[in-house]
Amino acid sequence: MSVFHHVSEGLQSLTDHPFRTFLTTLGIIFGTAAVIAMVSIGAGAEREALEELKRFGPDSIRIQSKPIEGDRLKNAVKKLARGLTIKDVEVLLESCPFLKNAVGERTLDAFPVYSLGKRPAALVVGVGDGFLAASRFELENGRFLDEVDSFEAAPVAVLGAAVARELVGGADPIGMVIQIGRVRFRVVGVMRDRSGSGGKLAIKSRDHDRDVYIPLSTARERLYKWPIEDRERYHELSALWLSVKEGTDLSAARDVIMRILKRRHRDMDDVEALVPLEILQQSQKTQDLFNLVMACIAGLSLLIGGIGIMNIMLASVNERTREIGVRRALGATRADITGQFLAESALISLSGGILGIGLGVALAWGISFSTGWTTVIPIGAVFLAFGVSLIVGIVFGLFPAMKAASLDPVTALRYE
Amino acid sequence: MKNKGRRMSDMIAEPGGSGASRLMIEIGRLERHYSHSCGVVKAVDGLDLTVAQGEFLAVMGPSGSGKSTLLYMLGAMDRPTGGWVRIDGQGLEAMSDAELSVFRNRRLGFVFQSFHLLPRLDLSRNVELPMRYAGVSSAARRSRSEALLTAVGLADHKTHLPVELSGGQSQRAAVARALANDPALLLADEPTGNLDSRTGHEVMGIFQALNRRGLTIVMVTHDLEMARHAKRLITMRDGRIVEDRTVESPNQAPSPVAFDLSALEKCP
Repeated sequence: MSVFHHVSEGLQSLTDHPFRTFLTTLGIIFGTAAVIAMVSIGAGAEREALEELKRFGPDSIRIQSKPIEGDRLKNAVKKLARGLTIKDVEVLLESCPFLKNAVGERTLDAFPVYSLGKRPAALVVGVGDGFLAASRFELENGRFLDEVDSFEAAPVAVLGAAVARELVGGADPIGMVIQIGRVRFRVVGVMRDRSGSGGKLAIKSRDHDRDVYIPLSTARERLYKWPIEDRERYHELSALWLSVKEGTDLSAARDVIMRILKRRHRDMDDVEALVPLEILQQSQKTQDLFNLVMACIAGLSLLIGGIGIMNIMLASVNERTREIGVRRALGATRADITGQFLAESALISLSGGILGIGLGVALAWGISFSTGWTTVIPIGAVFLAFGVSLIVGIVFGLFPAMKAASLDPVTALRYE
Repeated sequence: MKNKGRRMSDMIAEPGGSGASRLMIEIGRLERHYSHSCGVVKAVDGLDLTVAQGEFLAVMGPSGSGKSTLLYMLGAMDRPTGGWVRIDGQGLEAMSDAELSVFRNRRLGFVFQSFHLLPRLDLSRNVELPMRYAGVSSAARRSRSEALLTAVGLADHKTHLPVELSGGQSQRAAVARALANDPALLLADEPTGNLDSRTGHEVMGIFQALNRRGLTIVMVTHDLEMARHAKRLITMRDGRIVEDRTVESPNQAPSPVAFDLSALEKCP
């Protein structure tokens, strides 16, 4: 008897008891759905991590200033420590030949931005030369701040995409005047929209679409003067954007940079280094652990599903003992009987697998929708789930099928 | 005419001899012993028998006399613990389980007391089942099953499930299924046991018609009246044949109205 016949008979047998078949498939449905959801979350996280790494640059190191207050501030002042300064950038560039780029940034959150009677939610950021290259941000329109602006401390600004949108909608803001604090700035460029790249996964960063970039020299000369008392005077810069040359060991580079900064900052623990690659590697380890736990859950669910199939198939063999005897009398070989029951168990688990794939895709979509995580359903995972469910059906159907085939025909025929 | 003690050796002395029919069944010193905790039960105990092609043999005997055990050994369903069986010239002892299955499928037809139609399959698919195992193509299966169901008067019931049929109709469907692969030997285990007298006679009529067409039939029965439709009658007791006689004037069942031999002629 051909496989086609076994499948067609198996289908009929299963549709005779649709509810029982459905209950039997539940374990496989949940197991497969768990596999699909797990793989799609994992693949989504991996894609997001890679995108994040691409965004920050695999060769980048961020130095972030840490606030110093109270007794520690007094101590620092006593030691003549100055926090993160523009001088640090110069020293690092001079003493670290492995550095490709080093740019300072200062966030000025005390300065509101006004224009056309509006006050958009914006963060003024003073940036050094070469910021565009170091940050890997992209310009949408106009130009970025250049060395001349920096040299002249020119009152020019580049708007983040969200700020530009809020101010002028779809219109071109180049050439318009905005007011930062009490100083007027001319808009020379607009950044490209980075929405959705807020660093959901591992590297936390602010919403750069809300930034308004001005030259660091302009900030220092035109804005620091107001207000006169700057409480955050300890750190001249908020952060450094560094990138290393190709082939440099990031960890070693980070250690050298931190040693230099520590020495310059009189042993004050006032900065921290972020290496996106390391953070992502760490997050990958966490992700791997999550995947392992999910794989165990999925495996357990499939195991339970398989045992359920075996249970129902054993009951079915028992129920149909006389039918087995009749089939043997009519000329069915042991292989025919094995094939018939294997086809049934494989069909149960395959249909469970298909429903599970559907549920898994829906689950992945639901998770993505409700949490904002990126989920990706790789086609390989669908085939994997399909294959695993087929194997579960065959493995757990084998024992009942062999039991059916090994029945003595006469005993089976006389079974009451 | 009583032919008590007719031995296989008597028959085998004239293999294919002048006027003698070919032997369909040859059994020598056949034994089927079951070991139990309380000892050995000898269901069939040193039995010799020959049945010529075209014979209609009825096997009678009380319960436990070994007649069904004999039938299942003839049907290649049960293996003897001693002796040998040759059906249509083929020895069954050396055959593997798979070869026995193929042999049952191609050479034998079974009719059971409880019909044993598969309840989930309609009549057509029930009749097709032995042909499926024989690897017959779908079109050939369909046309032969239609011809067989027409032959037993169930052409209008081919899409019915067994549960929708009467006892007589079920047994006629079972006969159609037994004939699916054009067997050389039809084995029937109490074929009228679950039928009333009228439908029992109807089935006997079909058996006699088939036998007239040359089909060899071995039928186990409790019912002497039904047994007298056969040409030869053996009686068993304690696993042995105690009587073997030719039925002088077999009962003639009325011509089965539902049995159309011409439809069977058209079977591919």
